[in-house]
Amino acid sequence: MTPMPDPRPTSWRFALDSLRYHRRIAAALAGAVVIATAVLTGALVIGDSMRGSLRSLALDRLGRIDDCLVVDRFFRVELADEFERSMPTAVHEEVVAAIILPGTLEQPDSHTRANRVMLIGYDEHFWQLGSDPAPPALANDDIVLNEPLAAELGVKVGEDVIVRLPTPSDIPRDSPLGHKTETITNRRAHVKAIVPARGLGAFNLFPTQQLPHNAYLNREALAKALDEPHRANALLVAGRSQDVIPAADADSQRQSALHPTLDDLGLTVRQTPRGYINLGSRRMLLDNEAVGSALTEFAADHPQPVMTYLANTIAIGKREIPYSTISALDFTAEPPLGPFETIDGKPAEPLGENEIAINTWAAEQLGAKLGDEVQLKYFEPESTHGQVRETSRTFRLKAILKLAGAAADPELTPELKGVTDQLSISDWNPPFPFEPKRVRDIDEKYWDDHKATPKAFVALRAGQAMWGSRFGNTTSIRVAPTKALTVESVAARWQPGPVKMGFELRPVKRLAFEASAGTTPFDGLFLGFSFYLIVAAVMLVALLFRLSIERRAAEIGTLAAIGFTPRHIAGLLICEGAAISLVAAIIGAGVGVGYAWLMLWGLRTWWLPAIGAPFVRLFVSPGSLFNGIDISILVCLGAIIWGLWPMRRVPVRQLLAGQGAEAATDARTTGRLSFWVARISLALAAITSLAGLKLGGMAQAGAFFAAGFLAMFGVLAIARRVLVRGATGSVLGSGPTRLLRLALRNAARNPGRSTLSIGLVAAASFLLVAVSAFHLRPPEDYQRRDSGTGGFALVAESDQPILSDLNTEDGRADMGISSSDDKTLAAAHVYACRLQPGSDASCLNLYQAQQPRCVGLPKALLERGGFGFNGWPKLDSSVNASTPVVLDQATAQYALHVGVGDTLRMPDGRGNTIPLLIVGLVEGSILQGMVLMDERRFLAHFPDAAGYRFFLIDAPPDKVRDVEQALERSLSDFGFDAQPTVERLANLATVQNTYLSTFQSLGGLGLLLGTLGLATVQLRAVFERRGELALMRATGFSRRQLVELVLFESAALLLAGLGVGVATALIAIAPQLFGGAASVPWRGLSATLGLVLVAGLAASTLAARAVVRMPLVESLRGE
Amino acid sequence: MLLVHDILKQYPTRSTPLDVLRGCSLELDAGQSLAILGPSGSGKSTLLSIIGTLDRPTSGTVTLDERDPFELSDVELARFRNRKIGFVFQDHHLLPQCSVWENVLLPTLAECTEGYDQASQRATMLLERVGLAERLDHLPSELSGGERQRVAIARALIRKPALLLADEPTGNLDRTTARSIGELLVELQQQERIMLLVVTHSAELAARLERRVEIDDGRLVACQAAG
Repeated sequence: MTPMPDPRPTSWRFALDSLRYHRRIAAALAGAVVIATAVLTGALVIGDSMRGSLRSLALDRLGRIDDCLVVDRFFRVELADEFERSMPTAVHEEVVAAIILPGTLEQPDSHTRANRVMLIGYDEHFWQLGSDPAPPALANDDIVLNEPLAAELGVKVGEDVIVRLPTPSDIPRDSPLGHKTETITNRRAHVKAIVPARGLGAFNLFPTQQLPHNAYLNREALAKALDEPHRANALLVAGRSQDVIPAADADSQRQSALHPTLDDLGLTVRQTPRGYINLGSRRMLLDNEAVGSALTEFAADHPQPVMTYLANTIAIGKREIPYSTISALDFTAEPPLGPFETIDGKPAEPLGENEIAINTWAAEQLGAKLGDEVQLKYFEPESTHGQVRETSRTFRLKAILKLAGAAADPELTPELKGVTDQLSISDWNPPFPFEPKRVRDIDEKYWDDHKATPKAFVALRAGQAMWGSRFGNTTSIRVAPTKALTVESVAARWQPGPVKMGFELRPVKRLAFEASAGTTPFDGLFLGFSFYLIVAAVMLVALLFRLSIERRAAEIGTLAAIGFTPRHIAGLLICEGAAISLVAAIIGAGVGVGYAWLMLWGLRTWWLPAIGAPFVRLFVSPGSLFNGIDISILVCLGAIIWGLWPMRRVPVRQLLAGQGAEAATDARTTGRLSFWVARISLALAAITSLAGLKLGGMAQAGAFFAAGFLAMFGVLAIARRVLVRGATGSVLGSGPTRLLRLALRNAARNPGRSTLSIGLVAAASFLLVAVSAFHLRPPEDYQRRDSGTGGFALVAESDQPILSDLNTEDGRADMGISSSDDKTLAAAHVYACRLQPGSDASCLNLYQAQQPRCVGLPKALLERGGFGFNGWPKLDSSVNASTPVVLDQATAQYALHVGVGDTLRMPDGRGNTIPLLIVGLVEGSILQGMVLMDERRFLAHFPDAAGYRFFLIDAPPDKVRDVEQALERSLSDFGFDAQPTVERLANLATVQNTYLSTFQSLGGLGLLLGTLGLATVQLRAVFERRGELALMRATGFSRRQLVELVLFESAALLLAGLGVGVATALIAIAPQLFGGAASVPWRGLSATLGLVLVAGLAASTLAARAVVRMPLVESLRGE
Repeated sequence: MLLVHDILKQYPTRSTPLDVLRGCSLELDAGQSLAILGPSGSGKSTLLSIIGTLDRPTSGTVTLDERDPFELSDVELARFRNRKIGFVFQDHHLLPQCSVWENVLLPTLAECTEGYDQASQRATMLLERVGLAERLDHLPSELSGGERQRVAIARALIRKPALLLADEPTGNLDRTTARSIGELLVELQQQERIMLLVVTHSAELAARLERRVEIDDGRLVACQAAG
């Protein structure tokens, strides 16, 4: 008995034997799976890398800093230690006080300027929060620059720079009492060191991949220069490790440990000489939160709010008194807050809305008697563009008060530097228009005797209505002391909420971590970019598998004949496919990492404009590898099943005869189907393009893209019909085209495969050419108002707010603009807008913008309109409780993922969330990355935003450069940076265009792969026909003729694919092409398509040569 | 027992349907053998495919062991074929990637009711019987034409079918090899007591079988018994 061989036959063994036997086609199949997996995994790894790099960059730039507090006032540096002590140490261990301000630096010799510099005043603890070594200790005049800033300025260690920084002001600059000029402090500093732009050397509060410009100064020296010694405006809260992201639920715990004192909040409590307790503010006006908390806390003690303001004139008839303070309060009789005695010796009665009381001195000056009409002239409480406006109101004289007791109280007037601290009125140095000539000796005498004691009183409500503003409506709150109510107890009990006072900790590390998820899912983006590459690989898998199945038709027939069920046969073949897919997918995942590395290298070099900075590094997560392998196996198995599917209907006898699914195709049915598909597709294409003619912008581009695609589909269906019907013309005849005719007939032998080949090449060429329509070309002429420039010549931003009106001669004079520049600027018109700093939500920032920059647009700009948007006036209207806003379409779609009608919610930095209703989008504009709202709404949400920092500038075409230079030269102290709108649009367009180029490059690669794959399929097909070719040789065809025959067939398919793809793509981009908006990179595309043609033909030639070189006899036998 | 009754087979064409078989009927009992003769294109192989359930008749019935296979579902039909019918083709149709041993046992991979040990014993027996016991590990490409056909015969018999169908089993072989294959087929048929139906051009092979019929104009016509 013969021993039985081992192992026993099993399905797996059968599959493995089959793989071994059909190893060549299995290898080709595996190659296609490797490519599909590599591209898929590569895209996922690119996503990992982008997120990982953004995260790593953000965390690296923050070091151990978890939270940050930057406020608009200066507090004691001791607050840092107090905060540190009161915070649970489990999570945070260090709090460092710092000064953080925006500034401008200039190289004094070359006058090279760097704008948007973050000035950081630090002490010895700061650098310990990062991992890099600290620079040398700084003397008072030393400065440390980071490398990008030093490079921008062109300075080295040992050289000097000029630092321009904002002069702090307690009084809001937009109030008449705030200074509009001399808002910049200049310092000369000595560059002590230059630190690399990593770690805290690139410290940044709003994450961006761009390299920040940072300058580091000695904190105390900076504080002194700002006249705020021993004070800071920022707290940096550090944890133990750079890599630990603090939990969100601990935010309130940390915030509740922050207890700024009244001094830190800029509030004062003191006992006045009259004996009452005065609750005031260093900023002249009390914050609403401070008022609210005081009135609530001391409600039982009858607190008395006071609003004191400056009247330019008090007049009765022609008699007037210049520059007097007036207090708005509700009289009380109880000492020490009252009584306010009338000249009759009676307590004054409460004043009505239109009533006024004046003191005896004033009454004497005005010759007043009760019932007289008293006119008050005063500046409106908020100024715009630095322009103060005088207004007036008339009151009826209700009482004349004795200039004694409660009415003779200079403490009713808050301190105002340059005014209340001056010895005489003539010494005043007020920020408002002041006419010293109006001041009489008698007024000086009053000042000498009574200082800023109010000369008149109105009801609190009337005063707050006249002089209240976004900065507040109360200058002080007075309470009468009791045994229990002392200065100390008031100071202890008065606790305005720190958050509402702007002392809100910002969890910068967590926000940066969240933002590092990115605006764009790069894995999805690269999956999209590599779409054709993946499709080509998957189609190759399907094609090769179908080819191998076709070759094995007799084998399948045998299995069916001996009793294998169709499902069992399919299972065996799928097992083979699965085994190939598994092994190839694992290899492919490895190759995918290499592919991702290559793409990242591309992003750091060729495609750098897409990401702005070469920061991206390779990060690989096991999840992405597994996902890449899983998805790839599933997709490839799908393709294999697709390849197998047609075999189910092939009769066993036909299979046994070696004929596969193609031979079973019913030409008549397929022909009819193709005919209808062609008709419907072409009709739809015509309808869509006609509809597209009536549309505009992206909608039109989309319609024509669809029309082109449908046309391509229709033409392919026609091609299939021609091939299925064998309607390629007669083969017989003579002449140079006889071989070509035979080649066409050969192509028609396998209509499915040939149509698929044409379709694969056509689809790729279509996409490559058609996406050119979306290449942005900035307008050469900025003047069209409905374009992305809005018709503006220049767009500008300044580091420091500009408070004067640049459209008036006076305003320009206030800014110290020279007469020659003034003449240039007179030809321009500047629309100055408010700006609330935040993260850049434009396509230039890859981080998710959590708190985008907000811009307040003045009424004049809303009325002017532009940017192809008609809804600007809507911003001025009130839509429920939400603030109507407009966004750039790209910002809405890609950065914020919102649309018209959606509501954005944004923190205001004082614990409130602002609901912003999106009422409109502007397309392809210079306004990308910002939230645009009406100025009044803006000021209601951001009352502390002073002046104007964003500018849209109209200028005559021949003076654009002159205006730009004049503005930058004149306003250099403010870090004014202007840019032609066309340039700005070009910068933004570069990003989108680079992405499209990336897509086209990878699409080209995919097309090349697809073509080479088709050549492989062709090789197999030619190999199958070797007997037939040998017969032709036997009948007298030369080898060269046979190579030509095969080559003609390949060329016909390739050229048909390229022709159909390019022709239908031209339909898709017709509007852009004729409108001049599309910038089709013809040279690059021609090179790509040419390369594809050459590579495809070369591969086919090699295939044909290999086959026709086979020995004649063996080929004839089909061995 | 095999009962073939009034089989009609038409193929659609652009004009009128083409009648290949016009009412073929035959009967075959267990242990009987029958040769079907006829010129090329007469429909011999079509009839064999219908009897072997590889093709369906336009009308008429086939009954094998009292079952009409065309009433079965696809899966049941495959099982029926596996258990009841063995095929030997002119082009042997061995799987090139499988060894002799694997090719013979291939039908048991579709369904194995008696267990692998029994199947392998039978495979050993059959391979010894066809004279290839020493070539178990060889691939089809390493065998001669006659040897391949012997393996195909062993494979056809592995499941102890009731009916063995052979379509021109000697068509691709030289005369000596053809003779030995013919002898082997008949020997095994008698040994296994199965029905054997052979489509052939070879009068020599047909003469070895008990009965002979000829296809003429799509109908079966009995031939005279060979001497």
